[in-house]
Amino acid sequence: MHEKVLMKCINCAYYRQHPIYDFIGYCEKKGSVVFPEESCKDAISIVKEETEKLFENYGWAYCIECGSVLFDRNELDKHISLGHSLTQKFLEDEVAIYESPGGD
Amino acid sequence: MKSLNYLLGGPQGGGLETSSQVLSWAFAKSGYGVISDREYYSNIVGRHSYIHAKADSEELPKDLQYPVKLLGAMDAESVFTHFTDLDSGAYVIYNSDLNSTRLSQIPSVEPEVGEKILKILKKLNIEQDLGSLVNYLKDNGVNVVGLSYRDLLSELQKKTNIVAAQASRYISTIIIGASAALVGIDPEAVKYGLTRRFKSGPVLEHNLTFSEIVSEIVSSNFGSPLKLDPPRGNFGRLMIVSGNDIVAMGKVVGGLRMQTYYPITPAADESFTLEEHERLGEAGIGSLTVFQLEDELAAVNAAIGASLTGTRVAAATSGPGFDLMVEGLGWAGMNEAPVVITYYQRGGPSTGQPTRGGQSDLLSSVFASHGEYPRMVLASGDHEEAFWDAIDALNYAEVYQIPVIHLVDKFLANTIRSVAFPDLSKAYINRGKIVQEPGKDYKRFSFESPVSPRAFLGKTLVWYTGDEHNEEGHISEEPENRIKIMNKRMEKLELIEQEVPEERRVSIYGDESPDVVLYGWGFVKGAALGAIKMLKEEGVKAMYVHVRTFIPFPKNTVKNIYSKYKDVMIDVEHNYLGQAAVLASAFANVEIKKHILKYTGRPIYSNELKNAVMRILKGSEKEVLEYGA
Ligand SMILES: [Zn+2]
Repeated sequence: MHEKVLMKCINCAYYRQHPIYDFIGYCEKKGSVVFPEESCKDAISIVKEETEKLFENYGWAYCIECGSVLFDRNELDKHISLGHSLTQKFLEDEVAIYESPGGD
Repeated sequence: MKSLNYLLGGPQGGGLETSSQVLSWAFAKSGYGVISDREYYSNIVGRHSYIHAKADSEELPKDLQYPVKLLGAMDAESVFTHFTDLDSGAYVIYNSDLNSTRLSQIPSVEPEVGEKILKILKKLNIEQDLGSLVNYLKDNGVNVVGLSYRDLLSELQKKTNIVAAQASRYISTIIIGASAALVGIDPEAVKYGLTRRFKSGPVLEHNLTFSEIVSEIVSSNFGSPLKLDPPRGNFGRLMIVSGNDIVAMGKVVGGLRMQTYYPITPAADESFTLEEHERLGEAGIGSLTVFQLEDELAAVNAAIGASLTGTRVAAATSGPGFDLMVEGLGWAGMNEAPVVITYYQRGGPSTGQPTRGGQSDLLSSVFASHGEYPRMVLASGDHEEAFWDAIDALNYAEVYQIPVIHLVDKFLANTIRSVAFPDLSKAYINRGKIVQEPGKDYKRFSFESPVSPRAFLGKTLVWYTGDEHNEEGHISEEPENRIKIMNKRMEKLELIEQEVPEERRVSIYGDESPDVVLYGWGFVKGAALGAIKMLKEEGVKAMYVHVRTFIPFPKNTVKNIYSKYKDVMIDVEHNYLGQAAVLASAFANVEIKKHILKYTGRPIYSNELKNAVMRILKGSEKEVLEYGA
């Protein structure tokens, strides 16, 4: 008997990554902190077309797996074809500013 | 253990400040002296930053030292960057989830830093992943406290609802809880630190609990191997302050009424601190005004304008901003307008290393001018001096009606230390020669004495101009008048020479009949005092000549010491040229030939200074220091 394999948070459309610590995330649906490798029955796939549309709008996407920002359409396709999770959304961090001394 | 050298590293914006601040408060609350220096990249969230610190059971430390006994790493980069800073038997707190992270995968590592680390890893035969490095450390006498930061947070999340927008606060607490356990800090002191930082609400409650959980895990596995001796110094009432903070405090005590600035690193924090204490009533009556302008040209001119109305005023800036103020300072010098410039030195030229330190603007502060005018240049060596210098600068400016430049280096500005509460009964305000009721014969620039009778705008009609002027202040370029008014102004320098005693200009520390004499200024002081103690342990008697004012220069003391010890006199500075030695040559006619210099943007550490002194004693003429990531 096969158990249904649950999707991981990192691959879910509700997932937002912490901008500094990649092992911390946020679930838009639950409204709370989650962790990328957690599994969840409510997880939904990121729609490829949606990612592409957002890429056209923003001009960039962030690959959570690779930890890199993509600006090039070909690059984007490469990461999509590898099944990587791409996003433009991050967990809002309201305290980083107080931990980042100015340098200008 | 008498003292603990430690280092906390992490991505900028990731909670490092919180960890360091809470630990500093906890140490101080427990009766220990602390010093911590913050090293960071220019305003880029995610770039590697670290705090190098020391806690001491016997004194309020002023020097920083390597190697460290404790490394608290918030990320993999901190372990890769600082494993060479570890002492034997040191403890490393790190995130064991990151064991498979390879150095080359960390995007924030600067290429040159990456190459340097890679070279060391290759030499030691260590693979590029964090797990291999950690294993190497374990095999070589380092104690590794590997914690799964994810699991710790995940467990906490099951009990509470972590405040997502402040998630990094919880990472700070992992470092705090684990460090506190290893060092055996009283949990009540940690609680005090956390409460002071997080004030109230769920973030505080969560982190109080979380700190206890982490401490419990670490102490049950490792005990408190880094426990400091019970505090022996009876320090009395302490303040935990940065150099920026204490200059602001000095200015408030010194009666500052207005501060002007344009934001620039590392000066702006001082103005921000003052802004927190700006209390103005409806009629503009209140504590003090802090005025941010569009640039430093405007900042210095606004300060001068305020000064003409009788306001006690200062401006704060660093190198690039100071350059924009130079024309204004000439104007102030010629028009006898008292104004203080607090000049924070960073690593230049140009934008240079805006978040790093240096002492390379000394010559600029002494010589920058169009034409000639009298000025004073003070330089602070530690927080205590910075407090009193800030007050003195305001007094000197008004007593002599001149621009006074107060030099502070970035190291001092950004270093947070425990400092004894100053004896405020020693503070005084001298506003100089003020004419309250100027009669009709009043002459603002009277030839009668070098310092003119000062009436404020609004009291009487006073003429000010950017051209040379006569006694009344009207434009005059007539040669005889020019000689008279130039002589009058420049004679202030002779007056200052007569009135500022030698002991205000220079401090002498260490052995009275030394084997070696260190000559320095500014933040060199802490390292020099630390090195003197270490040299003593090696049987070397050392003296430190600490210059506190460059105008007026302590020429008698420097000449006198040079005449006795010229062969063993070493100039120690954070610059390339040895600028204070250049001034010793110009003002005291002595040529200090040996140098220990550091211009990496990082401070001189007492241990590296001691080693460099030993090499000089063995025949080296010049040592260039480079320690520190
Ligand atoms: Zn990818």
